[in-house]
Amino acid sequence: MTRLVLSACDLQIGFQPSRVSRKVVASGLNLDLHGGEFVCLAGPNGVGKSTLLRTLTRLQPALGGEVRLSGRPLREYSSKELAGLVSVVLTGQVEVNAMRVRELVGLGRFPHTGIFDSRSQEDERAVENALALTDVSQLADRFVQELSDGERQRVMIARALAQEPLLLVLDEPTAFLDLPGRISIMHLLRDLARGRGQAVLTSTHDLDLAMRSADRIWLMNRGGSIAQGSPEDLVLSGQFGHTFSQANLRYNMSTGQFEEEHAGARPVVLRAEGLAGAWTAHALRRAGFEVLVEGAEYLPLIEVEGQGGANCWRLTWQGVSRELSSIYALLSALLE
Amino acid sequence: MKKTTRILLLLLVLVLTACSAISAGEAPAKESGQTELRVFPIRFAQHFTLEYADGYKKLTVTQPWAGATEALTYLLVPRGLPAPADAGNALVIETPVRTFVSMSTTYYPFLEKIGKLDALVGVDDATYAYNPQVRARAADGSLALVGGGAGGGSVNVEKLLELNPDLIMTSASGSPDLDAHPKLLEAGLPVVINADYLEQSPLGRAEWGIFIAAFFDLEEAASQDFDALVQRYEAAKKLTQGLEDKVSVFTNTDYQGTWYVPGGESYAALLLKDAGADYIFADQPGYGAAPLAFEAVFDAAKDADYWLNVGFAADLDSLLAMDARYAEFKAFAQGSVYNYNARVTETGGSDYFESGVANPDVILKDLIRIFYPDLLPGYELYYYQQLS
Amino acid sequence: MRPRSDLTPAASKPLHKGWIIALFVLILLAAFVLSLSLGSVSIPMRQVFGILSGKPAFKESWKTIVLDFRLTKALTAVLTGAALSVAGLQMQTLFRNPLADPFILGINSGASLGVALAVLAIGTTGSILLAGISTAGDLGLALAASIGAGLVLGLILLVGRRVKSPITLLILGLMFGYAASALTSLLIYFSLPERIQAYTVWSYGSFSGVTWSQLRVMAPVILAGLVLTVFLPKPLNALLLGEEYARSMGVNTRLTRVLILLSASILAGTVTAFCGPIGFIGVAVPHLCRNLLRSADHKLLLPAVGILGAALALLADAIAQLPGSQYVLPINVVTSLFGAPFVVWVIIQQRKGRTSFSV
Repeated sequence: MTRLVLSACDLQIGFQPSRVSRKVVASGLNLDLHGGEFVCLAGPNGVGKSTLLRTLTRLQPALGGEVRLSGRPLREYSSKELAGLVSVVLTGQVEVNAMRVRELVGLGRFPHTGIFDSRSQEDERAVENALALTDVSQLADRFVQELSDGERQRVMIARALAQEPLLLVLDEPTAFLDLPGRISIMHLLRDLARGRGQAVLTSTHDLDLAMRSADRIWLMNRGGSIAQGSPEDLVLSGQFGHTFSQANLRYNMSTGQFEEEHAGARPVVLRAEGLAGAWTAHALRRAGFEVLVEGAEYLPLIEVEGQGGANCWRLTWQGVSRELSSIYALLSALLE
Repeated sequence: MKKTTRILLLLLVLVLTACSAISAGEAPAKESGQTELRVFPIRFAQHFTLEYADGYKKLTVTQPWAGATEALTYLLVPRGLPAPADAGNALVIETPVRTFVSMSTTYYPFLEKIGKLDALVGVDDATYAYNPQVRARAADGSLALVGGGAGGGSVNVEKLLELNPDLIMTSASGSPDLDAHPKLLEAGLPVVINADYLEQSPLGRAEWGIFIAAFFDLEEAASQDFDALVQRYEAAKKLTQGLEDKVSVFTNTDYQGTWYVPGGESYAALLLKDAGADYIFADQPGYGAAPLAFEAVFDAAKDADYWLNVGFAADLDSLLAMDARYAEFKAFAQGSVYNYNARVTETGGSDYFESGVANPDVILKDLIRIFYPDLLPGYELYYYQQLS
Repeated sequence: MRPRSDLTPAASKPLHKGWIIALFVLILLAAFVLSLSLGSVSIPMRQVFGILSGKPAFKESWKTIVLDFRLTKALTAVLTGAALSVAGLQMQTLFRNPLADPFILGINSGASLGVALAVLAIGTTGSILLAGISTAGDLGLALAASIGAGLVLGLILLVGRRVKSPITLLILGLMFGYAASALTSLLIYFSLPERIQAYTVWSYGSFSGVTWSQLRVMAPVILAGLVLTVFLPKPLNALLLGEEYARSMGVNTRLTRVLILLSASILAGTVTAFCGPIGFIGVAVPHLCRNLLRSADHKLLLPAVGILGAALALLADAIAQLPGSQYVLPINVVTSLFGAPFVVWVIIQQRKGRTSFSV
């Protein structure tokens, strides 16, 4: 957490397609990002995350306020200078055929090579470095279109790294990946920040992973404002819940989960402990029950008895007591 | 059905279709007459016949367009008399025709020869007409412009219905989207197809004047006129028979590397032959124009004596401007280049294509004068001029 | 979901690109010699070489044929093949569309309209027609075509600088093309058959119509268009990822777009002006090169498509000349008839391997 790489002051973002029409997405934004920081930009769909990232990377103009990169206003940089400082990984797959991995990663050197794109030793070294950091060196001679989705994203990140930027910005890089793929990308980004001192800013829908890996989160809400802070601070202050809550979706601060609120949830009494108990409670809530520790006599009573490996559930209800061998059987019995 | 059987069946169908398409190119046989018909002598034209029956004339166009399979028959019945009972598919036209609409400029000279140019009440388009009377009448509005010809867009059926002419004469190509006559026939108008352009023999083409005259009951006069024409033509042709040293000639120009060369049996080639010249490409088959490579034409014709029919060129400089390689031809270097654009209007009308059809003897004499000036001293070129 | 790559077979080694380019050059030279030796008139190859080196020929007409007919035709084919292929490659990359050809922006239609106006719309005598055209010498037709193409190009450039996405530009270009074609059809509708024939023959495309004096204009213009592309490999490579990535790498996409449009239009427009519209080469040769070289790198592709395009144009012309017979086929017939199945065959062959090769 050293020098200030990016800062925004009273920034206003949005669209201005013509002189008369103007759509403001967010305003009054004050943000900062330091070297070696991994920042995740989170928020509900459509709130303007992409717009913010595109404004910060000058892919579209700001409507007001100022952005500073390394102390200088963003608009003062030439295209080439800016490319040497900021590199991007955009959302969506890039369809490139007949291109090998090393060639694609090599494209990242463009801001540093001349008009005829002649490569020096330093350029080769930067490419090899980028390949190694993203762990795709062994794929260097393969064609890009042959790779799996996860490998391709790594290659796109490698390209962005080959640019040797001060700041790496990514827009939904894990959107179409499977779970292991998403985890591995987020960890890669975290390691780049932590291990290599790279400033990384990414937007993501993956709240869970963001909470686990990010140094700070920029929480963008529908009103067009952003709250900055470490993940836990944002949870405890209630801002997390406030941003994502919907009609009947509530953020449970202790479990870190989003839960549905059922007005008509049937109460049951659960007496159990340990792992089995926790997962039984999970199942009951999933099925729409309200789990109580103590309750009236006429409510269904569930007791879990664990005998090292094999669990057994006892359901006592309406005078009948039954033993069931699985949670599934338990739920079936309750829902009869 | 097995796959191979299906393919064979498909091939069979394709072959049969191709065969019928090829045979469509042959002219259909004449039908044998049922009633007693006296045949009017037609000597050179191959595509129409004129027969007399009791109380009417029967005019048959044996091949109305290239590739036609059926002949078209017209029964010319004097006004007031009933149409014959066994008319069948034939179109009945009341004669003598009083008002005439022409869809081609080649009919004007024939009308003029029988003194019936006044019967003209409408033409397709006057832009390419040469005849001064036609142009004047089109300009002052006494001649209706109805479209439907080669360069005039689609035909104005309403105007024709309003005009209500006794006869509309047009040529046809056989493809429904280009021809005007199907629409006119549907509207009940009296349309007659003239196939003079299919005739390759110069005298044959001129003989179609009789076809036109028949509608005015003036075929006898036209025939006598034609006989005189034939005599003049044959007399001129005789001059060149038995010539020892024949001049060589080639025609047309290059279009972007392809030179369309008329076949040895074409109208142009027959005229050259009758004029006693040696047409370089006389052995090209048929009467169509063959697409030859420029270098092939160059190789064959570079030493030819005369070069004729050079498209739109008005003088040697503009001809050379079209392609610098024309200078390599001996005919060009000697200045022996002639074009048939001596009589043209500012709007592009060419008399060669108008009255030339009716006066092949004049064209022939032009050619003889060009090739063998000593045979016709004192004769002045009419349709042709030398490029300078 | 794509399979993990360690399950697919091992990667192929990058081929020696230098050898393949050398092969292309060899093919080009062979095709050039072939084009000079074959034609309607049979001239022995020895004579051909003799004439080229200045020795007197067995027949005077052979000398004229080789120098004034075949040599001009061969040079035109080389320039045309190179120009169309390079323009086609640029269009395919700019619009990221494997079906893009050099004429996709309606340049062709503009040129056709110019020619149609010159040939068809003159309702006056042949002399007036020629007067207008002959003041420009044998460049008249080319001039008419260039003016038409230039008008469309001007429109494209005007619009191209403001439009945000290439797709919009593409659609606008298509619309301009349709409008020009419609006007041309209107002219044809009202014209005499002989003139329509002249226009139709022009639209068949031909290398043989170009003379030395025309080459003196055509060659420098095409070379200028080709020279413009020397600065384009780097931005073109960046554009392979799309305009946004290209911008993020510091490429001036606006300037690049203008340069590409200018270069491609000059190349395609000039070819159309002198030879008529020539189809297929601009679309097929970039694909062929990508397949054969297995690379999308424009530093390699730009020269490669130029050389291969020139060679193929020569071969197509040799076939069109129907050597041995007097007849000649329109170039467009040959390029389509032979070209299309050939490219299909190449792509199928490549698909038997692991990779697919659209743009």
